[in-house]
Amino acid sequence: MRIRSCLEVTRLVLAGQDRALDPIERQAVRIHWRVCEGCRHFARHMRFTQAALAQWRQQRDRLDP
Amino acid sequence: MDDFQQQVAALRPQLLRFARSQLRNETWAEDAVSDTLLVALENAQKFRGQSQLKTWLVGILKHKLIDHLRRHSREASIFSDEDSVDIDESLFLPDGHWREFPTDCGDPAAALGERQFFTVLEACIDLLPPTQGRVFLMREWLELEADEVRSTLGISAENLYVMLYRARLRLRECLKVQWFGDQSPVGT
Repeated sequence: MRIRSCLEVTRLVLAGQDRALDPIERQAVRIHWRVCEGCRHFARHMRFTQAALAQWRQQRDRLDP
Repeated sequence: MDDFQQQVAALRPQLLRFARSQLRNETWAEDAVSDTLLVALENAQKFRGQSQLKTWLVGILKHKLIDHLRRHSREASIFSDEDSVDIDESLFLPDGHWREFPTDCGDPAAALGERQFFTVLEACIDLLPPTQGRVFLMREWLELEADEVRSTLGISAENLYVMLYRARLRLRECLKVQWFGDQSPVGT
């Protein structure tokens, strides 16, 4: 399998937040992560952001100031 | 004004702030909040506790916001000049490598305990271009599925994914200065 570029992997990782990735896409991301520390960091940033958004949503729905 | 009316009126500014950030249009936001307060006052007898009232009001507001997004779907899904900027060029080299590699962010979870974090998060969301901000909040605050966002705004899957992709990248760019250990100087 061709190694995808950082740009392609970033597109997949972000698409994964709005639709289910297919097995080939998930595999491509995992293979890229093995060799690319930057994209692993990026994925971690995104996981953190999603966790932060979940907490923010709860606060907002309670109308906390 | 009775007690209930006063409680509801006191929450109006917060509801309006939420409506503005979701709709990015002053008139629609005012209308959506007025609609919300009307429903609340018509159903006054159902409520006692303040916290229940807040949750209930936000729930009504969310429905009204979706109504307004649907009603103004054409205008609400226009790609402004800012929405149209191709962010890839500024973040990636022509061969698809990062221009600046994302770095280890340490433990950003600690930031979640800080009130300031959420202030900055909201500021970053409000800085998104208008249509990107709308679709992003439809997903992340109104919690609509991607298909529901598409049908509400009447846009193609491709356009929706482009907007969400750019919104998520922009949000990270905005947050990274303070939380993801970027090398650039932190603004004061």
